[in-house]
Amino acid sequence: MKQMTVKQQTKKIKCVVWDLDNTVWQGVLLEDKQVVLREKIKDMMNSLDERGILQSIASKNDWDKAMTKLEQLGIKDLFLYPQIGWNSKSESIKTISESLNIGLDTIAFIDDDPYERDEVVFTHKEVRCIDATETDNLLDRSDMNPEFITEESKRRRSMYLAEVDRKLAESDFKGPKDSFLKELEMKLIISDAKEEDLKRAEELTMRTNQLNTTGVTYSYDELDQLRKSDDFMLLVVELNDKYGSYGKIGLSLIEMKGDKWNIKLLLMSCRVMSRGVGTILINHIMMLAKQNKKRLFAQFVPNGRNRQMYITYKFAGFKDVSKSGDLIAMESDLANIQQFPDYVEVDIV
Amino acid sequence: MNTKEIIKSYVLEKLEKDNIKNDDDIFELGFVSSMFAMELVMFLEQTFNINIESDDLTLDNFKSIDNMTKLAEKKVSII
Repeated sequence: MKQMTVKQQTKKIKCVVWDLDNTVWQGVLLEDKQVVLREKIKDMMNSLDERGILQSIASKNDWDKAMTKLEQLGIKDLFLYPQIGWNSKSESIKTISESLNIGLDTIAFIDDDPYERDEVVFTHKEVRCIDATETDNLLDRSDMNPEFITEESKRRRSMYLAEVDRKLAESDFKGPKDSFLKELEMKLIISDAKEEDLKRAEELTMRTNQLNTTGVTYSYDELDQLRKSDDFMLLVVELNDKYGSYGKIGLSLIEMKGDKWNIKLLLMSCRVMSRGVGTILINHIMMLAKQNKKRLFAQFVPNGRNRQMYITYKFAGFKDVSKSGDLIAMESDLANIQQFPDYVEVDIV
Repeated sequence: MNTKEIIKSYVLEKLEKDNIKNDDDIFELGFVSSMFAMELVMFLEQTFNINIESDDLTLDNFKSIDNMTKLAEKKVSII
């Protein structure tokens, strides 16, 4: 496999937002006696779902009637954060993008009405608008074909649905935040990467920008070599809680040369942003280095969005030691290593 | 409210404590997640309209209400 370095010109679509009337179904729900699903639409939706592309709805419609109809048609569960009401579609799409925590430039919007498409593009020029009458080749578009289809991709929708439940529980919860975290019964598993983890690991290096310390991407083959090499340690992190699994959400690559260890990469999925995973992983590596009597270094390359990772290193006690170009080298004196928080059970495998 | 009071009320709310001393080490009071660290930095930057640079990002500068106040006041006076 060739190494993939530069991001494609057009980003892959992470979420398809559907209009309902004359797009998902033929007819207008509030006017026509009966509406029927458009031909092949269900197959199309199921294919997108299997590829790990999320789906939502932006429709000017009556919420109750539309949801009842979606249920009758057997497709209701396919949609995350459906926006059905009388808001402008540009607002609906913004809400969806914020709720899913994905960029507007990874959203496609399908509507039969040119006015609605224009309204969306006028406000969010990065959203890809598609005419509902031109969806025959939708599945063949390159931006609808992700580079990777992993176990995580296939489960992506159900993982987001679990997240909806979590958020609901969190907003209903009256006590302090730490107590809520305890309620989640989180279990973090840190293990050496195995062969079956590599596809997901490659995907993580490609997909994660915000919580990524260097932004270096690694191909499957590179990761496989690193995993087998005695000079490197490749760790993967999995998170589960009582609502379900987040899957493999963190990755770290540590170079081990003589008495020096160097964290070349540390990243985690944005979905676990407020769970303390980054700090736990760094502290775990610090403990390992200390036990093995090694000096511990880390690399950081700013990309405009990953400042949180820099702060994470700094607050874990790392200090800048040198800078060359964009690359900042840091070292920890391993003096203060934080215990794992008591709201999460950490298993080192 | 002065700088110290503003910082204190923010920290108390975030740590869900009724009161802490101005020189208490907040990192010893409990686990500091990267999210909290980021929020703390952003809060100081936005509230006092300052720019916290890499050299300022030390545990020492953030470990207590006193130290955060010192950092914020030093940064404000530079502008």
